[in-house]
Amino acid sequence: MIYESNSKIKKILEKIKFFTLKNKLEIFLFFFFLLIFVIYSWDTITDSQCPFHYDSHAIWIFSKNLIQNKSLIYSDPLSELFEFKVFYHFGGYLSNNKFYTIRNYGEIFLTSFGLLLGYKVPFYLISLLGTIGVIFFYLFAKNIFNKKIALISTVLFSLSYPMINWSNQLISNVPAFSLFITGLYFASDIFTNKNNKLSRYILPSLFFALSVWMRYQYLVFLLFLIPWIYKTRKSIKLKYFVIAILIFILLLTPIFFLNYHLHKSPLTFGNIMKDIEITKKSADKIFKNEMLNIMINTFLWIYNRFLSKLVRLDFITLINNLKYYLYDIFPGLIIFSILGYVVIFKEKEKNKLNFAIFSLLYSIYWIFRIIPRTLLRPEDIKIEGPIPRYFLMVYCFVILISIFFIFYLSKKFVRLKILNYIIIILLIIITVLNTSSLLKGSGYTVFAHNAKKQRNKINIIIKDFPDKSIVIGDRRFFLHGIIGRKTLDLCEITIIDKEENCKVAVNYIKTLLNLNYPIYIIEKNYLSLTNYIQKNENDLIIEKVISEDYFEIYKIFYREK
Amino acid sequence: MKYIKSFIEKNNENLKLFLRINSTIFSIIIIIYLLLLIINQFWDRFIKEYININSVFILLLISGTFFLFPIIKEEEEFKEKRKLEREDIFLFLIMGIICAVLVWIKIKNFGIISYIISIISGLLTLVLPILLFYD
Repeated sequence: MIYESNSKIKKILEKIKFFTLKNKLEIFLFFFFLLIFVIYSWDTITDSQCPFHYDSHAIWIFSKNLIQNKSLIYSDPLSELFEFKVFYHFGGYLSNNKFYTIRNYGEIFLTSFGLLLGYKVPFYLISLLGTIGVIFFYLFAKNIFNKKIALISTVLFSLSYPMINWSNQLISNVPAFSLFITGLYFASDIFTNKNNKLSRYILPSLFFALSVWMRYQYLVFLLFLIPWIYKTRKSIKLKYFVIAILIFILLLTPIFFLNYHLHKSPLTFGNIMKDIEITKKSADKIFKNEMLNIMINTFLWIYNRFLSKLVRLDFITLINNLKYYLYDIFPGLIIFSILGYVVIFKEKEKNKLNFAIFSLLYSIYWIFRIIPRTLLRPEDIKIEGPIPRYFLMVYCFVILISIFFIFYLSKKFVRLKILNYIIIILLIIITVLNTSSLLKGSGYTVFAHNAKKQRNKINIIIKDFPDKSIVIGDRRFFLHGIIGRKTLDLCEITIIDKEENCKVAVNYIKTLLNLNYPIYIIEKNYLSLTNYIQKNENDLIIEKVISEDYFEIYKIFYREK
Repeated sequence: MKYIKSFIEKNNENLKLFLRINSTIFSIIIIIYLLLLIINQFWDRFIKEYININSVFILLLISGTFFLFPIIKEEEEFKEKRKLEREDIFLFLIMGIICAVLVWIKIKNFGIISYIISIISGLLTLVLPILLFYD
């Protein structure tokens, strides 16, 4: 009996061993992607999540408004009472006391969908899309290069600072990147002649359209695929290609309808309307001038917008700024990517060459479009700022080409194959070390994590306040990320003199108290409003209701006569 | 063009020697450059004061360009496959431990999470090359 059961266990163990050895890469990838999802949703898992970023706060408000009022226009009736628009302290533009979004519709719909399922779901959706993006990046790299290059590139890219940081935020850069790379993977199946079914034409158009919904610039990026399409035209079925383009256009048409519905013009987006509103304010200045001045102004506008970047192309400035946004984020890889491009153009292997042309066109355009024109110094650099999150595609291309070059070296140093693995190990160590120093240092990820934790705590506390409560604060300290109750931003009272500023704020508080709104002030704020009220306002009483290490909340009400 | 060709033919042996030396120098500079980048993560002031990484970067770029464009046709590439041996695994294990320790030093003030992150990064540096070698 014992002998029989022992042999059974042995057989099972052997089967497990066989299965593990056969599928070792797949097993590794499964656990690796699981780990990546945990890292990307770290803030949410550890209850330290809230729409902390200026843009994410706007996305949150508009998404919530979409669920509650079935509208993309946000309007606060209380705002009409005040000169300064203290309730509109997030991205958007104001017209006829209605607040219009400048965010992309895709991110608002995605967040709304998540909110329907739960408070944390929108954040998990971003992390999930980030992980999916990494998976499809692996598949795409495998299609163009090979399994080994795909594996190392995926590990380096997924563990890089920009991916970890922005997958933990409610911002659409990571979802847009993921959807685009997914579309690129399905398109690469056609380009490399691996699969030429109708589904491979429909899926890229679907994912490319979704990426455009998330961020409109991805529409421009599609243009860089034209050389690749042209060079592989023989493997493309024209009928399917036309169907794919029609589906792509069809999927984008709702954007134009929404634009028409909101701004009375299909091609006018929220951002454009905001620019127009700003121009309107300075319109008097322009149009009171003579005709000649108007012509000069128009020429200057065209010159500044389109020509100055080319005319004033300063190579030293460009290299200096690229050092901060490319070299410092991926030290060690840039040199290999330069040599990698040289190898690809030298070897002229069809798929790699087409990909290299696409990636080069894309990177050059985007670097010229995004990198600042002024000579940046270390103190000017904002690694946590917009540039690294706009550069996700550039980063993944740089990594892919560099790893290709390292494996190209192994062809040259066959006897010194171990050298290649040492290079790879050193690169992994450098990437992990650099990511951790950016996360806790200038990248502010750990700082943002702690700040979000604080705001999350505030959100939990203010849930007990009456429904109509208004929390007064300062967006430079605590206001962004507070979503439990309506918030009033003192920063929106744009009076330079602090005393005057406090007077206006107190008047607003009194108006709101007269309308029976419970008012709470969160300290600290730049005005130290509670101190001012205690010293100067005899008819108001302030009562500390919550005191924590890093914030205090005071309730304010009229003194009984 | 004729002049270049005749120059190459005349100095064939010398150029071959130069390219061979260059390929050795290239592989040495890569390792030095990557090690300097790691040192830079811990002692950036020391690196800034005594060594200029940018000059190593430029040296690597020049050497790499020569490495990529051999004027003389190379000898046939070696086609033998190298198998994973015990010494290799031992080397990867040591590198994995070094990686884990370095990451831990960098993030030790994170608390318990620093141990988890450093163990995972150490495991990654151990498993990945083995996976690649095994293929």
